[in-house]
Amino acid sequence: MAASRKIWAFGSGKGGTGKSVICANIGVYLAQVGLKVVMVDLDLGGANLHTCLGLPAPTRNLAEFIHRRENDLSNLLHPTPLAHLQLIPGTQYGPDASAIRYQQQRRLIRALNRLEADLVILDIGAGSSTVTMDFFLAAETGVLILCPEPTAVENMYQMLRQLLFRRLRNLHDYHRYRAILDGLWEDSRSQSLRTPWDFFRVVEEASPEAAGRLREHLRAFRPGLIINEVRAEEDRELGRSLKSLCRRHFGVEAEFLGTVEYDDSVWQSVRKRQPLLLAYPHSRPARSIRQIADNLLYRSRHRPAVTSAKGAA
Amino acid sequence: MNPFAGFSYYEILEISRSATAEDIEAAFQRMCSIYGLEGLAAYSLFTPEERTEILAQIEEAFKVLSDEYRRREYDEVLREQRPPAPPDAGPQPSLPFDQDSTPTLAPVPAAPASPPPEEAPPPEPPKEITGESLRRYREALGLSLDRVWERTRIRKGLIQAIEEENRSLLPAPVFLKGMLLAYARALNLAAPEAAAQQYLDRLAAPAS
Repeated sequence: MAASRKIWAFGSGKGGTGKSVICANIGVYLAQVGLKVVMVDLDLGGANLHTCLGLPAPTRNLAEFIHRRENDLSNLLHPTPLAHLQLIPGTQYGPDASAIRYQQQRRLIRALNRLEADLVILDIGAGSSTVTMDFFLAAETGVLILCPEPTAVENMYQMLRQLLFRRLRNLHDYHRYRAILDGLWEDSRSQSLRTPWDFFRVVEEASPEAAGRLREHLRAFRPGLIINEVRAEEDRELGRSLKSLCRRHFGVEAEFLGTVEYDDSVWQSVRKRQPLLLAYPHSRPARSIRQIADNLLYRSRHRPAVTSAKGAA
Repeated sequence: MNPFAGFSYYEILEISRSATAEDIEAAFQRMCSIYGLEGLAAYSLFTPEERTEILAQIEEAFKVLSDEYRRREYDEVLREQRPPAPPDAGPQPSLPFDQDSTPTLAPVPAAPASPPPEEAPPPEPPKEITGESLRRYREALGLSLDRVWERTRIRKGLIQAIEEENRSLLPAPVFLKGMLLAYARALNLAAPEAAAQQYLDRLAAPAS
């Protein structure tokens, strides 16, 4: 599926990284600067984006669309405290992401692309289920959020690894290389090929043609990284290190978008059920989030167009 | 697998060829903190043994590049397009053959009397998996190396090396396995995994 130009997706290899809070506040900031923003809570089964935006749990949510009780996604838009920002809430009960069938997902992605907005922001559930990954890959910009903790870093790599191979499988002429890639990929799961880069090297050895094709296909895959809950100065270095490791051992040019500080203002704002940017606009994490959003805007403007010409302006 | 295989010392330290002494020092510190035991970023990517190996390579790169004389020598070597001489440098560069100019290393003549007559039953899959038996079976199926390449995208030279059990041209067993699986599937063997394993076991045994 073609990457959409106006969808940004936020994912996380592990729960509890503060993804929804960051996501909500990036949405708030972009609405504040005048963009028409729709936020979609795709953390199905564990939806809480509405709370981060200061709304009570809405009854009409994405489940209506998924179960075809509602065919027009725009009828599920809920207003938020900000004029330019609307929310399509997720489900707290009912189907979780893994229960969505492929067709339902395609239909949802098509509908998301048709929403009237400058920007659609997806808050994707944590972990790397196929559905999660497909939402992530359907976006123009995919961002991974993690904390400076071994577990979060480990899960981030797992997710990145899965994303990479998922993306490779979407290659339209994958079947040409299926025989060799499937075999090697199976092998790489048994840990003998620890990193995707090892995998590419083996592919290179077996078939330079296949390797060239894969590299070319991966070049456009540039996930962003945000490090949340930063407490020490060396945590900031983590971003640079991850970027370097992603390039060398994954063959992926990740973009380090910035860090967000660990700060009481964050949980206080959640407690107050208000977006941080409205409750504590001058706090350090609020400033960092605005900076990250600016980075994303800059990046979005300066990236080569990848989509087909089929755009509803 | 050596995570830095094929990297020059400059690439290992992530610096340009024109890096100054200070750049090199700073890069060295940075790499040590990334790959060091406390490094959070490389945690879970490598085993402790791999980390030790990586750190040794980083140190070697630093030692050479921070020594003006040795660096100049190394630059010479780089300029001649030679790989940065790993300690157990093999005789050939990493890609010993091209896709199409496969060296014909004295092909083993096929066993006589194998070409099946018109009404012959389908060839019997090999009971014992050896390079030779794989080749014979492939030929009995009427599959050329080109056909196998089309099906698997494995370079012809490598398929030949598998059939010749040419250890010097074959990749390490862990990487070879995936190729063997692909090859076994291309031959429609009933149990590709078992076949691949048998081949690997045979290869692991001391050459008779």
